[in-house]
Amino acid sequence: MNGAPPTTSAGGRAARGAVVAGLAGLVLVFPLTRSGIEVNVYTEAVIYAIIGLSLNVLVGYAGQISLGHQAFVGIGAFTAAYVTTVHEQNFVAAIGVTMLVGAAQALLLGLVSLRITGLYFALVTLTYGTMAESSLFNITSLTGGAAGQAAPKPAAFASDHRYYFLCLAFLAVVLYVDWRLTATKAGRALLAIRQDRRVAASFGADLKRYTLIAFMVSGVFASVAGALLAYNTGSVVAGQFTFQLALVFVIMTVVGGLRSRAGVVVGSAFFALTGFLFDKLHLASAVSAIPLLPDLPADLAPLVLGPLLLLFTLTRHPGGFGELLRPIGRWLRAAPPADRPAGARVESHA
Amino acid sequence: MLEVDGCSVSFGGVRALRDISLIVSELEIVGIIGPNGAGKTTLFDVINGFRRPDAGRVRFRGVDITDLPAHQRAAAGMARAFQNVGLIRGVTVRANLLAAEHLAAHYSASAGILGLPATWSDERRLSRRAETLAEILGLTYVLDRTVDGLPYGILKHIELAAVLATDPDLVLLDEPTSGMGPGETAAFADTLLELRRTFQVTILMIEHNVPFVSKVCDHVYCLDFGETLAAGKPEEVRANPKVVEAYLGKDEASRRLAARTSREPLVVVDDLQVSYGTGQHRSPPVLRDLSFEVLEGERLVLLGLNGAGKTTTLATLAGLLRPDRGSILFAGRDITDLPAAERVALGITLVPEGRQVFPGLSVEHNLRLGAWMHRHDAHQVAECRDRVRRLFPRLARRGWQRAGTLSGGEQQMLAIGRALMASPRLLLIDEASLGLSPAISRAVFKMIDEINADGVTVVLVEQGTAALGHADRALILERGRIVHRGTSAETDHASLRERYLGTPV
Amino acid sequence: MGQALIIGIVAGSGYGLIALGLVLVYKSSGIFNFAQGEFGTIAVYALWGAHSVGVPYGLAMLAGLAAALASGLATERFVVRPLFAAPRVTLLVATAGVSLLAIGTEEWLGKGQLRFLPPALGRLGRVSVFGFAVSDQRLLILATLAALALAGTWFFARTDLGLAILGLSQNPLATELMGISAERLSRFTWGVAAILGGLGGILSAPLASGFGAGFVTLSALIPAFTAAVLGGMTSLPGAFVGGVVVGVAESVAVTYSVFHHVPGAPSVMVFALLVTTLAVRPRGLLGSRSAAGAPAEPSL
Repeated sequence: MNGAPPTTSAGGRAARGAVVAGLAGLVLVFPLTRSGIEVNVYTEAVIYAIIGLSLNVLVGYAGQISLGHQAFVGIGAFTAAYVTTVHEQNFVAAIGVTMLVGAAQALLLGLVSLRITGLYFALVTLTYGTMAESSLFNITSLTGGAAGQAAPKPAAFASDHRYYFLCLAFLAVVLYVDWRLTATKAGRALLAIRQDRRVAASFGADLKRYTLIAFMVSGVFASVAGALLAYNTGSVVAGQFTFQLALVFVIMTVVGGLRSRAGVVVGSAFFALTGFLFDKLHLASAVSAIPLLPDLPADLAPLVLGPLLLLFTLTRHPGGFGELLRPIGRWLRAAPPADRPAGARVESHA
Repeated sequence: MLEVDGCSVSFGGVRALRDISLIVSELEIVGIIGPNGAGKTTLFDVINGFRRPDAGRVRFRGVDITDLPAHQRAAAGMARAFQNVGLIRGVTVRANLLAAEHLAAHYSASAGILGLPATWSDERRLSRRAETLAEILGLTYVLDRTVDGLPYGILKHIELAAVLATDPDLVLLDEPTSGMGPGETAAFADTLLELRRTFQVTILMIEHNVPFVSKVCDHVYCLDFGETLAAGKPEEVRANPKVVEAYLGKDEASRRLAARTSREPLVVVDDLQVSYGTGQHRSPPVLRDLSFEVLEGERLVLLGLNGAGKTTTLATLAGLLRPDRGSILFAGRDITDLPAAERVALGITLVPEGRQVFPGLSVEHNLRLGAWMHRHDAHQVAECRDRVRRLFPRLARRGWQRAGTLSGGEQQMLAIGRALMASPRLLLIDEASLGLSPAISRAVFKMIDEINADGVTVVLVEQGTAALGHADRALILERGRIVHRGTSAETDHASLRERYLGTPV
Repeated sequence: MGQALIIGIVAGSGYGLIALGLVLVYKSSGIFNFAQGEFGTIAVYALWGAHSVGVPYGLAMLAGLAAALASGLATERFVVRPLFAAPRVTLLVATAGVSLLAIGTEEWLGKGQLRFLPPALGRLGRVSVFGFAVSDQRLLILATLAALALAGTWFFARTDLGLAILGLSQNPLATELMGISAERLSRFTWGVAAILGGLGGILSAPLASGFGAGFVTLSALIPAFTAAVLGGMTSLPGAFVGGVVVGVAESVAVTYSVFHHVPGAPSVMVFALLVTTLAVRPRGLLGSRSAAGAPAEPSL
């Protein structure tokens, strides 16, 4: 199992190089060839990837459940809009305040999670999310009430393309921090805590401390994503942050594959792009070709396909996209084969 | 180094620990022995911080740590291994060791998350440290294998490595030689002494293997029923008559029934192999090449140390586990693939380990559910209920009490009574005497004799030899194989007892 | 004040009806069924569909309940059963997925239109209770809820089947060893829970100013869960009591002027009620001690 490193042939290296180049081209070059709203859609996909990663920290790494994640994102969006529009501060200040507010809100919820656990906590997050939508986000002085709040892009990144690359840069930073989280003691502490609290305690990991750290990291990622989302569309409205959105977030993370960065990124982007792809590939009329079924509007496609994918993932293929991507990732890194794939596993009591 | 002072713990109506005190001095190896259910693991939970004692204090290096949370005790230098192996599943051995080095990291959590420069070199240091540790314990070859699917013995070694990775001063080991054969045990004894020397650790361990304990420990405590029975040098404790009684039960004139001839086999087990888990997480076989018979109307007892496979055997007979290979015949019928619920209909009932009553339901309701299979036959249900009332008058008096509030012995009686409500032909009972006082255990065994006299075939799983006086035949299991079979008279041979039952001679 | 109280009580009974189904499922299998609301919405759509093609109201109600039953059994078969041994959190997410699927499908097939359902007793008349006007639809709900809570309590205390379901929730291993088929119990439980959800939906819908996709979930699921928690997740009469309390609390939040400056006051009130109960008395008003939180389980 642990022999000498595998030898890579020239052909193998060339193949790997080609795949990496292709991916880079897709992400970096392709959007430059498109324009207008289409680029905004791609930007949204990047932002969704950040949201997915934030939820992954909470659900995948810390073993918590959040059905109100749209509130985390919304708070970021409204904070950024508020700071930019009402206080007329610049982009950096807005992002800074957003991160603080996001961390603070997540910390509060984290403290609640120490007291109220498991299923009941899931219920609390759900209720919190819908309360945020109907109440918090309607405080007119802060959020502009029903009309919402404007959020103009920062001047330096006003063009769609530039803004896309800005978001991509943020995604890169988030991926880096996520990587360092899992590769150092905090991530390992979370791993132990999630699996077996007694073992974690005997390794010296403080459950309270690391749970709160996980919440805060998740909160910061999510609120930054919210801010980026606000700038992308140019305005924020309370009605965006629905219960359905919260479920889509959970679905895209689980289907993407918990604890798999690549899987979560791909899964989230996929969900962000579903409606768009549906339109482009004219799938709506394909659906109505099936007798008795009317046209499926593009914006409903994620709501119908998403749960089906979720149920399939949970019952049949718990690793999600991540599990599928794992061997590809191994090949790209020319790493030795693993003897078992990890991933979201449903643990049963023998 | 460690001082437990008068600790008592109760939960669920059970007095798990009664005023226990013990002292472990620096660099000693101290053993805690005693039958199952004596409170040994609960004692560890108190020392370790997983349970607060209702009374008493715990002192570590002179400092009172009774109120200190578990993870801070780990930071103070106390490490613990668990009975069912405390490792993180689904990841590699290396990941486990790195996780165990949590306290050894020199950087803060936030520094790690931000990826500050110092963290990279520290990570490399931790990695090298883990490799060194693995080398010392001979685990280098599994370092990058995932923990699942590795044999139990290796897992115990890995857990030991993880425990040492936390850089402890005091190590708590829970049944470290469980599942090991005599050769491995001897080697492990040497390993333990070597580790004490190399790492300068003090060791406190729970064990059942008394010869091993005698070889390795400086000092031994024997617990039973939550109390300290004896304490002192290993030889003294072994010879102590109270200790002998706790393991063996009082040497009463046991009823040896005349071997009844022309008894037909009720159950025929042929070449059984059983493993746990599914697919990739399948364990190595827990039972191998198991073949035996159970004769109609007899009392058979399965003996052996923890981890030998006794509970697994009963579970397979009851239908909770499917064998990989082999067959089971019941009254001539092949039931190998029959689900548990249907075996009840055939007349096989299991009283599982730990009683497993319905805690929120009353005694009456528990019994009523036991009669589910023939619940539409009111007459038979009434008959069964009368029989149970006759056998267990104490239960009859507590009909409407919630089962969770009954004492241990009463719950055991309820579990057996509930199984009887199904009018079984074959009654399987797993560790009926677990956690019960000798007097109550004897009473329970007498009741089982009565049930058997009524014509029910009984298979018991027991750890000690107390049940031999209530059985016709005995099988001794060791690591999944039958190593002795014979009548209970044959089995009651002193050297067999010592070797396989781990009881002092 | 009195008006708010009366309105709150009768409105809360709608929540209580849905909460009954939630408690039933939780009692028997420890699952939080997030699809419970949609069993109701599906029943409403089926009822409306049947009624609008001329089926008499009574029969249409049965059609609605049948549709709810079908969705409940389908959920049990395709979602719950495969995940039977999975952590409860996984099942929670799975049932949430089911509810999203239902909402998306309703939006799609219903073309996003708002529709109206006429009341059961033919007239939206009003009866006088303690001097306040209450519609007889609301009284119907209250009566149904009371009857069902009583029936449920009798069922669990007296019948073999009810006992078996309780046993299953307390000790699945022992239940299997009694020869009881966990599968059959599961089917039965989900079927009944779905019918309860359906009943809650079709009795409440005529009182709303129209229904659309996700009607019951969006308007009543969270208050119903709060009601169940408040009453004690394992207590059927508790669901009744909890429903009433939540109803009154919401009513208070709407009526009193001190709340007028708080946007979405009812949802804040419900949230506060939920968090307070869980923090202070997790087993609710009528729940048993063991109802308070499951032991730490493996996560997703």
